[in-house]
Amino acid sequence: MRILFLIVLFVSVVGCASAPEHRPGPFQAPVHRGLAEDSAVERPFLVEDPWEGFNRRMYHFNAQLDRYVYLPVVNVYEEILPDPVQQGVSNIFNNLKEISIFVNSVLQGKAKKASVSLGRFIFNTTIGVGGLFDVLGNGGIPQEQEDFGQTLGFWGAPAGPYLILPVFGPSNVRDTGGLAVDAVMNLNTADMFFDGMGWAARSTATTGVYSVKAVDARHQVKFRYYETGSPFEYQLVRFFSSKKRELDIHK
Amino acid sequence: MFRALFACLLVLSGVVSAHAYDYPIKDPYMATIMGTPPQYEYPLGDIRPATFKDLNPLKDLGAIRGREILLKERPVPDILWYEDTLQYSVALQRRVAPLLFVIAGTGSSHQSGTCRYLQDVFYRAGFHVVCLSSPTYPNFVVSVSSTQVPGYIPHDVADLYASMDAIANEIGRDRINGFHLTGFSLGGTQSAFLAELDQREKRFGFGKVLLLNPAVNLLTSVSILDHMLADNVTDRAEAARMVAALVQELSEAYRSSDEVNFGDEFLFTLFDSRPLSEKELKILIGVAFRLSLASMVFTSDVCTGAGYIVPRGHVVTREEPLSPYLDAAVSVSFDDYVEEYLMPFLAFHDPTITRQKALAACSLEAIAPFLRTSSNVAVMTNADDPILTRDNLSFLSRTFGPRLTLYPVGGHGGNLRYRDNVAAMLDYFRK
Repeated sequence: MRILFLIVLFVSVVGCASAPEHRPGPFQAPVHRGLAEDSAVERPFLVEDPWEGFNRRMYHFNAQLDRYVYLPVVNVYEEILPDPVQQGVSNIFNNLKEISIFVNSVLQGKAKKASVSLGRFIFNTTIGVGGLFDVLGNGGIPQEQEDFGQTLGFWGAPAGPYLILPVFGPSNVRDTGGLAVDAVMNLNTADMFFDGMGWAARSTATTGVYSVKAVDARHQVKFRYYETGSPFEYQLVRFFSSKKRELDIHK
Repeated sequence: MFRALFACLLVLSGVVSAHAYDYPIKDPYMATIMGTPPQYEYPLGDIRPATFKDLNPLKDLGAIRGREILLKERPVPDILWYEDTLQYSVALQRRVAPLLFVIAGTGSSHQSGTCRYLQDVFYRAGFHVVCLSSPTYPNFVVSVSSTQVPGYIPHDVADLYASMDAIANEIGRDRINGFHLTGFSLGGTQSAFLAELDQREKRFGFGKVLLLNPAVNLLTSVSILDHMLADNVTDRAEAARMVAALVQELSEAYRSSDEVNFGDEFLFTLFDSRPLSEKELKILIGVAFRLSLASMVFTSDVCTGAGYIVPRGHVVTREEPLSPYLDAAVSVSFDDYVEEYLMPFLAFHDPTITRQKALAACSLEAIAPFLRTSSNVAVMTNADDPILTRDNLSFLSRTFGPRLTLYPVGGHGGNLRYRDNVAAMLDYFRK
């Protein structure tokens, strides 16, 4: 809800700002290279993208949200907290993710991944003081990557068209559904700690947890919009994120 | 008898220590792509001995960070809205220290692997370090370049010089007690020109300047890169097929391995088991170069509105698919760019300029007298660097004499992280 409010606020702010328009200079190139798209050329790197117009707008929107709202907050967070504290925060939230990783591994019948996930959750929660320390990760057993989108893919659900989600970024229709299911699995775990409190205290605490979680989530993702420096970044990201997803489903 | 044996040992030990450069990758193209295997890298922990201060977790807080600065108040094309400010990165010491500028190579940013690495090394060695993107990098073209048409070194160097000056003021000149300069590849070439420009403008007074794997003549070097592609594939479809096959191979390996992360070390183990052929390596280098060239050409064309890639008068919107433009831009070789865009642009603003004059101005030969007499400018490069011809190498050794360090192998900067190279760089700037 609050995120939605933030987005509305942000859109109205950005909408107001109007810079002077860019005009072409006097020089005209003697040759024009633009050519009609040749459909005969093979395109091994092309990803099906019927909603490209919407997706591109959303890509720019996310980049603006990042630049003017999200990253400034993350930067302050990274500046005021020492690295070990930031790592601890990430570890706690990652540890809670083990629940959905375990469930999804089981749903796909992947016994090894399920046992790794279960073992990590048990040891990190106990010896790792509630997940503050990633004991097993430091011992060479990193977190597996599983989510409900992958489970759907594993059982043959098609990915559907490429889709850029607000805030979350590159996805597709199937994984968007999966995201919602995973969110439900994680939601309850965060809420149960504040059960005994009154409404006002619980609401404040929950908001606090979600805010830190949102900041930590962005802190953990190293991707920055337009960091590749290429004006063709959208195509690059589209190919690599789709490919990576495809591979992880079969892993 | 014993004395003879002793003498033998002495001679032997002398030979061993004189020649022990064993950077492991002997193939120049492989070296260019793969760089230095981790176990051969310079141990960064050795640069500065650990002290009690290192135990303080707050010590390096916020030391290395990206920054941006608005240098030109001019409208930016809508699809490039995010490039309005110049992005660069700084690593600042807490006390007064000398500042080292690092200029990135062709089409690379201040965050490229080479820049980050050099920043790390020299920050540890006690310098303030500022990394700048190459003038051929889209962000630089949009935010700083006066002409917004990159590739003509005198223009690019003037823009670099102005940005460096603004950045030094931003940091505060009272925190800086001396300036040094280095650059990799095209950035190395530009560093030489910057040193020459500074001799006239005198805003920095560089203490030491080090050119790492510089191009001697921009056009010669870039043509070599272009030919790596042109000589090895018949058309674009073939290049795309070959890269797709490699991606497929990588994918298979990733899927069947237990590796969760897709990092450098994964690549090293992979290519150890299946070395790439010289043809494949050349195509890879060529494709990477073409892609970064395509980004540069399209960006420049959108900024000038010259109608080279995008039809003149057409405004590219944020939702417009860019694939047709990418298609058109990757078909442009560097020679095409010079003939069809850069030269006409220069001639439009200065009718007296000729192709020959313009290209000569982009070669280190143009400032050879300055380089010959400047004892504070040195070069570090490799005998097998693919972007240098034999003539280029002899020009370097004639011009720089003992200030040229020539390693036998390493390709184009593949050995930059190799222990001997890093030790030599540190030695040079610390002396």
